Amino acid sequence: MKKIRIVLWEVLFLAMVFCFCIHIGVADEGKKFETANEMLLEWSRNDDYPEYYCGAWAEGDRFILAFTNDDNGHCAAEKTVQLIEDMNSVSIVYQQYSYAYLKSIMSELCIEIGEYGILCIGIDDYENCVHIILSPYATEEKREELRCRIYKKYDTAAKVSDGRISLVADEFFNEAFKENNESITLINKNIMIWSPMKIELIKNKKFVTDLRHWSWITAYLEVAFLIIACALFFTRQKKVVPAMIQNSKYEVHSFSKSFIEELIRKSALQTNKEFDIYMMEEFERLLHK
Amino acid sequence: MFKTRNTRNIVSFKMRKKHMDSITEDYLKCKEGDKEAVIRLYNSMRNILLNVAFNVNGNLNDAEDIVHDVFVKVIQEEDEEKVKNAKLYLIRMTRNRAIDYLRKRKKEFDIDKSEVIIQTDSSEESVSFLFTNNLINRLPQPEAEIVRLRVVGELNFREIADILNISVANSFRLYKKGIRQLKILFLGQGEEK
Repeated sequence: MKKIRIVLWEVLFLAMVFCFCIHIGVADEGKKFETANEMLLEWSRNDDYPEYYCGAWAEGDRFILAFTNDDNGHCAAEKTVQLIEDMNSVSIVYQQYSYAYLKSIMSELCIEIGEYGILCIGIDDYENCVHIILSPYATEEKREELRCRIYKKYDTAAKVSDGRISLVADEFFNEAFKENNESITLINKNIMIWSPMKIELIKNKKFVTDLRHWSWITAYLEVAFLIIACALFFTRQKKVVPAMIQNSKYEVHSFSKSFIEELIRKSALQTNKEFDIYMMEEFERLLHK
Repeated sequence: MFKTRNTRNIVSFKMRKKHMDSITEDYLKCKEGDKEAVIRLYNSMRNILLNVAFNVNGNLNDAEDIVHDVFVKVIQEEDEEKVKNAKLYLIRMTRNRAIDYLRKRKKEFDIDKSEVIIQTDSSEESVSFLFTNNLINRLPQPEAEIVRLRVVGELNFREIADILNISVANSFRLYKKGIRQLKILFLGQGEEK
């Protein structure tokens, strides 16, 4: 029973390690993609863009992949050539800001600049920046203030322009928009349009739509469960105490209830031979009376 | 083939009942003067009774006298009522007699049970025996007695409760407490050394 329990714990432990490894993507090492688009889809699905990735767009028949203009980006470019089977139609260019960085800027801006009346905000892969389109109803004063503020904080990583168009693109509107009309729209996943009501909600951080949060929560849960499993496993291992002397050293025994019971059983008194013989004689005498 | 816990318990329960019945059978035959039954009964009960007596009395010589007295009584005296469970009956009888001995001795001089000395040789087994006995003797009287009755006497909690005149739940609680205290004592002894 004890052995079965230990085996079960080990299986549980290994399962947890395996789950965790899958989660952090260890299992993805050395994976090949047929096309560059497939690789991007994989990153997009996990919402886990590498630090060296800047963006991607199409130019005619060619697929352009942008990487950061540093050592990481250069290494990644070489690695990508090995990862993607069909590299004939793919070109690689180098840009300044990583896609992950731009995404983080966009998330910050969404909360910070709601008061200015944004019409649209999104990542412009080609220009390698976060593009903010202001509402035509925003005052000139506000626009100027926002431009200064953004330039000061993000330099060329964010760009502000004036909105003049009205967006009527039903095919891009997702379910959220249809349900709440004027509430939130996700176009191509990275462009968002909000109403003032939704901006208030964002300010108060009352919504959670980013799947990345959930993936982190599951990761935390996995780690927590792993730690608890390990802790339980090791606490279930019996404490050891020196219990007997052998060659002037203490022999170490596992410290469990059954061990204690066994010691008590062993330490039970036993009648000695002389007493047994005496009792037999007594029985003989008494039964003959 | 593996047995489930329940199946094992049922098997163990049946074996135990059979064992109890055989002791009771031997006991009844003893009353009729069957020598073989007396020997069988003595062999199956001697160590348990010795431990019960020693646990109450704390003196090995007295414990042996008590066991002797109990068997003499079994052979010589008639029971007032029919004995259903001989093992329990013998343990209860031994315990009562041990208490009587203790009362007599207490009148003569005070006894400190934690300093009971048992003469043994210096072999490894004897050291372990003394070590464990010393720790068990450090437990409060009810816990030590319940632990011994349960482990050495192989009694269930209902039987222990019956002998000690306490509730079943209490006997279970005291047993758990005793084992827990022993663990702590073992650990403490280990650290000390």
